[in-house]
Amino acid sequence: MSSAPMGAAITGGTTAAREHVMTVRDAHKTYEGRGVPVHALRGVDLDIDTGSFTCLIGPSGHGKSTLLHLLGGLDRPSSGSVTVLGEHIERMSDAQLARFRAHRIGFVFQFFNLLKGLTVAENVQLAMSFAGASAREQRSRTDELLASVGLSAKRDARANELSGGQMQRVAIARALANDPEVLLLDEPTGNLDSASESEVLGILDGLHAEGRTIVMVTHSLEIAARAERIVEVHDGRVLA
Amino acid sequence: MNDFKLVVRNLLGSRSRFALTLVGITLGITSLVVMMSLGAGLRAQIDKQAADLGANLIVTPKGWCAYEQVKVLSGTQLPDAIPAEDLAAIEQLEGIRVLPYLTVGSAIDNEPVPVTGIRMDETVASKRWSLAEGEVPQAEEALEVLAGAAVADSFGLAVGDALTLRGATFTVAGVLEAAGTGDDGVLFIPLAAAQKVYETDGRISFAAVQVDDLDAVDLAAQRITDAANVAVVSDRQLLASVLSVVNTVSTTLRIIAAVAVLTAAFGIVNTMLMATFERRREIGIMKSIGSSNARIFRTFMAEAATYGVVGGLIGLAVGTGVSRLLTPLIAQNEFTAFVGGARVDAVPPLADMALILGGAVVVATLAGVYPAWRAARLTPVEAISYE
Amino acid sequence: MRVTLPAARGRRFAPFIALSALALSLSVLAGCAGGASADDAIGVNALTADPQAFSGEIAVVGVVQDVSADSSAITLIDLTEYETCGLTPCGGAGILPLFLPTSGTPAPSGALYEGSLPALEDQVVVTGTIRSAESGLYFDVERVDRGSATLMTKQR
Repeated sequence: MSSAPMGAAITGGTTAAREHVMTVRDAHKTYEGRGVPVHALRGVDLDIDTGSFTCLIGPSGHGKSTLLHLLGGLDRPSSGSVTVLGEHIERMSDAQLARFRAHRIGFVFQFFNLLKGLTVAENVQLAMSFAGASAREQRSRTDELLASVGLSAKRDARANELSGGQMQRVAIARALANDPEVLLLDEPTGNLDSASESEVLGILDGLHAEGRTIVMVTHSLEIAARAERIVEVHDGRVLA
Repeated sequence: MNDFKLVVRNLLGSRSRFALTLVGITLGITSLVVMMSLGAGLRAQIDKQAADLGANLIVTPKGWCAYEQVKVLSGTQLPDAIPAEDLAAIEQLEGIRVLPYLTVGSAIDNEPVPVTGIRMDETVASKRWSLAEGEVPQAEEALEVLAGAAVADSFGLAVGDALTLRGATFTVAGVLEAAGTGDDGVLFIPLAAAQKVYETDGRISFAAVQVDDLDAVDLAAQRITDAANVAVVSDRQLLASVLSVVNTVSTTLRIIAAVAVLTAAFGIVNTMLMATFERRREIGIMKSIGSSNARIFRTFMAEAATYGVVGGLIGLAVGTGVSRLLTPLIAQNEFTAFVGGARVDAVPPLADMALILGGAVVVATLAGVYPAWRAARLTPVEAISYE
Repeated sequence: MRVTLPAARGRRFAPFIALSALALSLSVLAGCAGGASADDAIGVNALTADPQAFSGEIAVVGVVQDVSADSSAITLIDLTEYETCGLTPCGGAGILPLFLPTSGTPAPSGALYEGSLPALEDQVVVTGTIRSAESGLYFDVERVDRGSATLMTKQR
């Protein structure tokens, strides 16, 4: 349990002290709505420091998730550049992005993170199988990870037998499976009751303390206050 | 966790859908197996009958409807239209051996039975028949019967039994071993006795001719038509005309079966597209945690192929069983009656089975291509954002 | 935005289509199997080969080759002969003459009939018994059926 830092400053732009793990320059993202082009991002500039805990906030539909997807290599910008861990996302092929995501990014969505036909352990192992881990590696690391999120007992439960909070904890374990440098979360507690929410946020605090870079999208200013830095996304742009 | 386990989990994730789709392809393969058994069985039967006839040329009366010549391969009653003089003229020719047949009929217990007058010893030798009991009637005009295995079995005929044919009392002198041809259903009597009892005045129905010099078959045919007012057809022509009918039947059967298999294939496409649609989120998640497009593609293809393997195997097993049950029923139609055999091979040869299984897998896999491509093509964001 | 794949709606039907295809093919084959062996009726050729061999009431299936309304007579030929060679069968094929008077001189059995004669090329089933008379064997007809309809019966 860690307490939220008081009075976290709302800043955009760069911080001189640490290296940038992610750099976004003039990123645009446009996609086809119902025959009408939707400009989700309209020229975003952003730097994220290594080991930082950043929250993206802003109204619904203003591009927070889109920005997060670009940072995670889930999508490419229509124009501009997105550099993560030294790699230019916009230049990578689908296969390269897949490998990149497997090894270096951990992603947690708001819901439907797990394959419901698989057990908890199998869900975690799946991520490892995509990174080429052997069966033995998969088993031992899964045990470790489930212990770290307090769900060892639920190892063999089917994913759809878990509560919302439990599922999100498994999702985090799964996201950490390949020891990624970056953890991206899209409203991970949006669907949870306050007790589960605290549990999840506690885990995140712990991960941050370990030195992982965390970028999280959230609606809640309360949650955002726990982060080192808050970035406001409004109308497809990052507010300075 | 590995790809194989994932495929299995995905397939069994929706048991009812798995079962229904499997039923589709199993039915398709089953019909293919049944149809192929029928077709192959018919052909084998005809080949056997023709080989058994042991003739290079068949002499028939002039002016027969072409199709009637098919009946030569069975014991079907045929008009006695070749006069004795013509037969004598043909038998005078050198370099050939003539076996005349008089195909008539009678009844036992009001059931029609074919009766054929033959030259006993020569025909028995030529057709390589063997006796199950008794002996071959010897005298030319003996009122004795050599019974085919099936007809003897049907009516419980044994050596010494009496039969009335055309008002004359005949005695069963011998019973043949099963020959596997239409001959099994025929009562054979000496030719002279037949001509006498049926009052045909020395006429016969047709004659099977063996030519000594196989290169001179056409010449022999020419000499026969010169010597007598008859028509001559070579065994190859006879077979060809019969086989063309069988091939048509067989092809039709296969087309029906192919339609069934195609329908099943579309069932698989359907199911896999449904799966692609329903599992969008899962596909998105898998991609987000690092699955490549290729892997997604492979997974879906593997699922489709599995339907082919499992459906193919079950279809082969069920199809073989169904063949066994159905072929006796289905095979009793006019056409197979002509060729004198309702006995059709119930099991397709091993090579054909392997081919069917392979075909099933290929068809199923192909059916999976489009859905797998759709699945792989989904960008993670599209898949995740699906509402 | 809900996307319904067109194929999705057909999902339920695929196995039934396969079932129907199989059922259809089986019924086509069964239809082919119908043919002459459907009834237990005896063919004309089989009968004329050895008429004496048949006793009691029998059913004979044949095709009407000739109708003579004046003499109330028809002749039947074998169904298979008809199918392969039409109305003029190859010489020597069996022909079954039937005398079916409705008035005047009765049949050799002494019977008169009611109903109407079948038409040329009708496929009929004739039920009756083989009997002998001075002139030889004849077929004492009880009934003439065409399909499910009875065309002629003996007057009682």
